[in-house]
Amino acid sequence: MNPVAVTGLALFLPGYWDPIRLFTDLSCDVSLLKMHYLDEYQAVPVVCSAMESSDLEQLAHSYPYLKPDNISVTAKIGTYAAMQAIASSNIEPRVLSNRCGLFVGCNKNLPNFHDFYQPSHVPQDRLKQLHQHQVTEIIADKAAVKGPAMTFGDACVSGVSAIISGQRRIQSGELDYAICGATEQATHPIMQHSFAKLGALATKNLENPTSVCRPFDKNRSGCLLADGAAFLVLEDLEHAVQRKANIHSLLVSSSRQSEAYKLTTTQPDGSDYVRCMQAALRNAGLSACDIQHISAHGTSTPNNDVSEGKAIERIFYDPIKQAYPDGFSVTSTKSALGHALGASGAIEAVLSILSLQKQKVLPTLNYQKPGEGEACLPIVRKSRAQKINHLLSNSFGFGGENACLIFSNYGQN
Amino acid sequence: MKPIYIHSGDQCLPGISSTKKLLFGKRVITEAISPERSLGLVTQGAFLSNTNLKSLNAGRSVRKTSERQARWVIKVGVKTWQHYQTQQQLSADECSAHTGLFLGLGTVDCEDDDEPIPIKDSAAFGDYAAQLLVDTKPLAGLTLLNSTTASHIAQLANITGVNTVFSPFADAGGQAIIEAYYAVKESHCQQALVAAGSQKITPWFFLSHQNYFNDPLNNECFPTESSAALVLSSESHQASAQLHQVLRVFHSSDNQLPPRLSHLIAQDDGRSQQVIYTGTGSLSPGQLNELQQLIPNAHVCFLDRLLGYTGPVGALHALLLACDLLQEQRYRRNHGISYHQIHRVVIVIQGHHGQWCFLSVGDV
Repeated sequence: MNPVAVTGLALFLPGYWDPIRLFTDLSCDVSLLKMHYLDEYQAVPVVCSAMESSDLEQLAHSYPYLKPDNISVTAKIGTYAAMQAIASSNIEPRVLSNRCGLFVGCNKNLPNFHDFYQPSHVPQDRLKQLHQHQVTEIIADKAAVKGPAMTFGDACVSGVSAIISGQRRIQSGELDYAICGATEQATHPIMQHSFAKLGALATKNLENPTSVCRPFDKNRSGCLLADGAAFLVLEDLEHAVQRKANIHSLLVSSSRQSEAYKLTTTQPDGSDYVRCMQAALRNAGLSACDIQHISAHGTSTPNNDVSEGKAIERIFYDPIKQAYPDGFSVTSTKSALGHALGASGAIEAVLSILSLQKQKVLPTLNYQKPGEGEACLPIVRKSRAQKINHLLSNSFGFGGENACLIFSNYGQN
Repeated sequence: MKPIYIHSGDQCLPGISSTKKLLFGKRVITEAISPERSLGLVTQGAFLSNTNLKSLNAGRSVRKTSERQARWVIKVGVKTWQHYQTQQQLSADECSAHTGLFLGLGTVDCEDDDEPIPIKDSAAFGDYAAQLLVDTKPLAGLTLLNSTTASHIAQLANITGVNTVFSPFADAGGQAIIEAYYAVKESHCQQALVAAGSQKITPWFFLSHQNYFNDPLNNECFPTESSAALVLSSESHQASAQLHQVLRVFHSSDNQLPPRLSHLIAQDDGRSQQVIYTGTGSLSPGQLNELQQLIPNAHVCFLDRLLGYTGPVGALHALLLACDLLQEQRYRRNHGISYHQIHRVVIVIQGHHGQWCFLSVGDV
């Protein structure tokens, strides 16, 4: 597979508009998770990473076209992230043309929760928010995209599916640029209620919000939901070199598979995750020992983490040396950010690229030790400098929707 | 260049077995809808009956975590795949990882029970949130996920290759066809099952489609519940037609067609003679005029006027109708019956707000 250059990136998380500031704070063990006592959540205080009204006010101030209340929070933060990614790539939207595509992951585009209360009383125009492609339309309009504009809705891998689709259109020569990413308001009360009912949300230690999410740890009890959006600008490598673009990293490989196993759980031995990670390695022409760091899906749910841990162990642990390769590490930033569902893969892609650029790994907060019989992974407990040439980012969604990306340091190629 | 072939699959339509029946004057069966339910937007709709998936040996968990909109897609998707496997004599094990699954689903707005959880008039907003926590069904979160449909089809058909779900209301099926076309062409899979479904007709459907049904271009349209599936592969054996070209563009003009359509038409070397249009009831006068200049002698079929508005699945119905047209022509030619030669069918799919897909289809 020909590598594709990443020449722009941006994200929008609660309180964070700048990826560098977020990366710096995460490396200092900052957590975005806190207790929310919103009317919408009622009786049950919820630990999550939700957009504050101050975030949206500031957004509306800076981008007046995002102010109207017929634009959902999902669309607002997604549009911001996409437009910032384009700006960071130093491409003038005017030069975007037939050779630029837009690939947007958006799981649900939900209206204001008050509108669910009495939907028939809501002004007609406001229910445009029920359209999942609303965010795609706004970005395509603002960025003057004339190539394909596609909207992906495949659960927790929506963002990575969008990135893979954009990558492939560049590799095929059809596009020079692909604006790829995802946006999600996962803390919307409807999502909170649904996940709570499913038993997927963490239930222990809620009085200490920053300690609740603990991927791969023995005492994990579930995930916490988060709002967020992140976008990358992917570009044909030759094109990027020619225009002397700032190349953040290379997207060298990807894989996307389905499990055909069960809706709510994966193979307990992690074999489907193994298959997906191995496909990404194979597509990159890399072996396990070439990977120095994994940004795990690591949701902090009992099922996902045990299977993902076993899968990583099976591929990367050397049973003869009884050790992982020197300098190999694993982290899950969901410990600090929560789970932004469809947007999580895109957010983790941005943080992975920054890890490559800064040669620094981010911590998995609250990790102490694995449960009995679970894989003992080299989890990063404290942020540290680390040499990384190639990095694997995992996204594994509900229903057995699996995807992996491999990013490489541009300097190494 | 690897050719891509279409293998027609199953369709669920109210009152007719497939779009082929449209060629013989049949139409979907419509029923009256009360103004309270349709918000006064339409007077009739075409409804599908529920399916319990027992004929597919779907387990209880599949039935418990799907609503009827998903079940229509699961039914046609799995049956289409089983038929293709038998037809091509493929064993389950040898093709599982080499088969892709691409779905166009719109979004799932509500469960089988389409009424919002009732709230007392006197209740405050906060009470509603508390009530939702108690009354929401435990599996509602899974039922409302689009990827649940993908998961069930993958499980029932044992498909473990590349997989993508698209969610725009009007043209998700077009996006799924195009992504599947590239996946086969670029060898990310050997064959791809493509399936799509309309959204079920509920008050939520009308709430989110008010602009659509208020548009004068759609005044002949009524909503239709339906689903359809097909397989794309590079295998010509028993193929229904060939998918020659695909194009997806964003072009937000109410009066003009995307300029790149002319390139697609030019690639067809003047062989395009039939256009099937879906997405709205009609093109705008300016767009129609432009289309007639691009393809001077073409017949234009406005599919949504015949079939009703099927949203995400319209693209698949259009593609299957194109296959029906070409197969009918082949049959007549082979049996010495006079026929009007069609070399290429161009399918035009218009999504909401500037989203366009174009497909060029020819005989095998």
